Amino acid sequence: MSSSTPHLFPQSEASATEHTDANTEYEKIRDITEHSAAPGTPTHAQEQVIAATPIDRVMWRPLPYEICRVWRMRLWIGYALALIVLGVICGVLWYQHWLLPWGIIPVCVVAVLLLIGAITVPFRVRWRYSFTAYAIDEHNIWMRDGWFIRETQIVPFNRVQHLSTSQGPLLRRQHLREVSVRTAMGVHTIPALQETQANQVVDTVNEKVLRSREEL
Amino acid sequence: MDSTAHSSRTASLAQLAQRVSSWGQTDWADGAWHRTHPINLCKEFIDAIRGSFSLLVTLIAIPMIADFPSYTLGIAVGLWFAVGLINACIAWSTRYYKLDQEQLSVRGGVFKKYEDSIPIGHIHALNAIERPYMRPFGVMSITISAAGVDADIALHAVPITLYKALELMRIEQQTQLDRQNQQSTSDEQASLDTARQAVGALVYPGLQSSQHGHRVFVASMRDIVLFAITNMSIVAALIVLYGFIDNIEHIVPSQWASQASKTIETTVMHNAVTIVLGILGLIIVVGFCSIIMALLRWYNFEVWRDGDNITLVKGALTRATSTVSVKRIQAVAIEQSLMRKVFHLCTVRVVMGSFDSQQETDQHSTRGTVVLIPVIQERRVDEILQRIIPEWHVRYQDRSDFKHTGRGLTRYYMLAPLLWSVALLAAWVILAVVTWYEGDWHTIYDEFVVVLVVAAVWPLMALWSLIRRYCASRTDGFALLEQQMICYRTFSGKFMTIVTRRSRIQSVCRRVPIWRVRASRIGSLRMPIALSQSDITLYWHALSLQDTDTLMKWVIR
Repeated sequence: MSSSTPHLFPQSEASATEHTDANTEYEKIRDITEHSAAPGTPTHAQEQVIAATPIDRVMWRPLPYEICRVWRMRLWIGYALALIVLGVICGVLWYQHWLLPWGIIPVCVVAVLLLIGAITVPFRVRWRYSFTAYAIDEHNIWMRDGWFIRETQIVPFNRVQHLSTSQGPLLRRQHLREVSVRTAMGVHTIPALQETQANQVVDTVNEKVLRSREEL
Repeated sequence: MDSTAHSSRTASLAQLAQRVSSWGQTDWADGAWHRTHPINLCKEFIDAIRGSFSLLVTLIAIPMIADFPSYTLGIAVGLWFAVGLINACIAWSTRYYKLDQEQLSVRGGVFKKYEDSIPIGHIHALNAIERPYMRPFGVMSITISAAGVDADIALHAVPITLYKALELMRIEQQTQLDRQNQQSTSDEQASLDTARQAVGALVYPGLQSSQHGHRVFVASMRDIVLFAITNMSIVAALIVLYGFIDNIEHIVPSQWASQASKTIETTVMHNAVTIVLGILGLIIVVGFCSIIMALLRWYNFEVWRDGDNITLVKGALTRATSTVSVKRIQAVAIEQSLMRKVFHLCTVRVVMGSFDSQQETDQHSTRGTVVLIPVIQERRVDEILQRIIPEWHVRYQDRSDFKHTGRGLTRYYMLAPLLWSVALLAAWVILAVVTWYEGDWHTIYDEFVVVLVVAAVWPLMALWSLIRRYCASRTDGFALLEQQMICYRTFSGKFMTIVTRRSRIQSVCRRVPIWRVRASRIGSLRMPIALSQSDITLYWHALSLQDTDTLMKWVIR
């Protein structure tokens, strides 16, 4: 419950505020956490102090805002491909006279759902962005993601096997990198960080991983 | 410099070989590449034949269906044997192994060459299988397990002394590592000496009379028989048998099939009594086969504890030995199938840090777990586990601190399968109605009829899913124990109790649907254990966020 937990990044003035009553602080912070996902909340370029558990305050860091463009592009490309595949399948079925009269109904339903999905992409991306964040404290890496199902992941440093970064064409265009944290049981990813920031995070986490193993 | 190092290593291996030489040949000690014993050709041949059984069925079926001359059947069988023999020869002649002071290496392959190495210090478990046809030659099969998926190395027909040497090297490296971490004491030296002596006597299953470790568990004949008759795979075997008999008419000549059918009709299907007797007879025969199989597999099952090692020995014809390091155990899992729950029996497995996804090491382990006790009475679990692994403080009977997290949240467990069931039922009804109104069932819509019949199986599946979720909601829970341990219980087709340490949990993942964040404050939580299979993950389908906070707090210290 110590409020003097060292953080990787400098804390903002708001985050440095110390409260004597930890429970009151937790309740207050929890409210912030649960409201922080409301669409339209401008979370980029500023840090939020929120708590995911009653025991520890976590300094959540938002992802770079450019990731919204990458997510939008990915989703739109996905929807476009799905529509093209649907069109090709329908064309073949129609040409071969295999498309039954009532078969057009499910095709139309799927097409409409895909169009609705494509139209709502900007809202969903903004909503997801407002919740997606990461944090690094003294002993753990924290990640949270999801716009509909909120997912919070914690990886203690002494379980980390190794870290890696990757960069696809869309991320490269925005000068972003994805950071993957591997444990013996799976991979946990921070979806995007600025290139220099990603290197800094990898170095720092590696250092903390080594230190945590020495402590063991 | 290199030659000096090489000569010192060779000398060291030679010393090791001298220590184990009384058990058999030690030609592996020169640090060079070696082939396995030629008897390995038998093993490779059996594997190749077994792997290409479907090819044989195809080769036999095609001439029979196409009405080819009878000699083509002989050609097909000959071809099958030839392919198996060529495969075996290639596999044996290209596979080599090498042991040096640091690691065990294997290389092989014809077109795609490979070379795998496991450092001695990274060995998690050693399994040895003494097959009857290898016994006269003083060789056995060894599986060396390291951490990771597909990280195992299997060596067949290698000298028994190699297994012994590996075990000695592993213990010595582990002790040296421990000594580096702690201060060296005379006690540790004494324990190392004891371990060396114990390994000298323990590793070869055929020489149990001189074992120095202490035996902590022996499975009685009653245990093995109970294991066999409560084995749910009997039901699966019956279904397979039925399927085989049902399809045999397509394989054997039609005259034979009709004659067998007539015989059954006149003898068994005569009246209700004969039918019941026939079914009972079938069950007895399958049950008897199950007992024979269980005796072959588990006869004389013993667990020995020696220092940090647990050694399991078992088998009637094929004697298998498996050595597991207690330090490498990730979790202890106690499981009860529905049938065993009725008889208050359970099976105990230990979860290790590795598994081979391709190879099913059938003797002791299944995908990263090792069967520690095949079957045991519930009331004896604590006592026996206290003897085998006292470090784990397993208290299966004591449920005083246990918190049932799912009770009162049954609706969250059952809502999703219920909705799926209703949706599938609606889809099935719509499909049936559309098919009916389109008319002519027996011509163009025959496929639909088949689909409808197959789809009609789903109510049973949905019912089973609902029962599973209900049982899970009544069973799910946890207890935080002393020494940073957790006890977790669930139902996933069988009742499962998992005891693990905090350090074995790799991560924590909490999922909360957005509409439950403020309203009901219910979420799910997953805490995977290192490299375990899916049914040995700590997973709560629905629990209050207060409980998730408690568990997260416990994990992140």
